[in-house]
This record gives sequence, structure tokens and C-alpha cells, in this order.
Amino acid sequence: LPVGAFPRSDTSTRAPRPDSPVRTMADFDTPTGSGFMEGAQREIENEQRQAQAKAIILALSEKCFDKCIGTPGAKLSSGEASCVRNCAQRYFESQAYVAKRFMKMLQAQRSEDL
Amino acid sequence: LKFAYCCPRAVSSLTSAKFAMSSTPPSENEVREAVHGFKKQMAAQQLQVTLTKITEKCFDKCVSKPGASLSNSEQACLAKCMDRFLETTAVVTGALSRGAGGDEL
Repeated sequence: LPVGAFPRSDTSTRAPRPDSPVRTMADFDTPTGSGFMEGAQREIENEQRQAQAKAIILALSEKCFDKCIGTPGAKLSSGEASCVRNCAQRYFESQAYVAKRFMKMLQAQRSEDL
Repeated sequence: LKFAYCCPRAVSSLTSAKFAMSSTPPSENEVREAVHGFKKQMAAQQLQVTLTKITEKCFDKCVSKPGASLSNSEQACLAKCMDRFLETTAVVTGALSRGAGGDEL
């Protein structure tokens, strides 16, 4: 079984190939083992990472939709589109800012305790 | 299998009755089918979450005073709102892959 059976970037949901001979996991102990299970593992983990990324995008789209789009028109005006772009970027900057400041607060707390 | 510990719903698709009853480990084909099923499940879930979000947002925007039925203008507003929301998602995706996307995602 080729290692590329589970390419990391492949997100299609095509049906599994029925042509390759069925083997059991006992066969995977040989040195020529294809890393099949590792490939399956990676594919699952890839799906999970993608799901997390999609969740972030959806949450952010929600926020920016609320902030930038009033009455829905026939298409996004250029103002609305740039508002959404700014919104996304400013959100991540806010996230970085909050994290950084929180670290400073923790450090200040620790040096007080000493 | 590491991924068995992460997602309960994924596990249910992977540990079908076939696996539970047999004493031999799953074959390659069975694992492949399980992975395929998992992907389909994730996609279906994602779709459902997105549609729920759109319905919430667009109901808020378009149906201010609920009447005895959805008027034509309300339906038109829902249609536009849905399209604009999906467009927003595309803009956000684009902004992320260009700008701050790398480390956050």
C-alpha cells in the first residue's frame, strides 16, 4: 500500500479503494510495513485541525458580520468587505494583545509574591 | 489508536459492531472505511453548525416582527443575508490566509 494513500492535504471524501488486498494488522509488524495506521492517524488529526480552523473562521465571521453588515444588500459593498478584513485582523491583534498583557500581569503577580 | 481518545462521536463511527465483536484487529479496508465515515461525519456536523449560525443571524436581521407567515420581503432578506454571510466567511478566510492566519490557525 503506498504511503501516499492518505495524503495530508487530501480533504476529499471519496470512497475507499476496494481493489487493494485486505490485510490484518499482524502484517504491519514487518519492516516493510507501510505505515498505514500512522497514515490513518495523520488523516484523522488533519481532519480535526481543519475542523478547529473552520470553527474559528465561523466564529469570526459571525462577529464581523454583526459589526460590518447592516441590512443585507445584493452584494457586499467594498466598505463592508474592507470592514470585514479589518475586523478579522484586528481580532487577532486583540488576541495577541490580551495574551501578552496577561503574561505581564502574571509576572508582576509573581514578583510581588517573592 | 490515539484518535480514539479525542472525539467521542468519531469513536462511535470507528468502533462499529464489527470491531466490537471480532477478536482480530481491524483490517486496512475497515480502517479506511472508518476514516472515510469520520470525514463524512465531520463535514455533516460542520454544515449543520454553519446553517444554524446563518439562521440565527438572518432571523435577527430580517424578521423583526414575526407575523403569521414569512412575507416575501422577509424571504428575500433571508436570501440576501445568507449570501452576504457566506461572502463574509470567504472574506475572513482570505484575510486570515494572507495576514494573521499562520500561527493562530
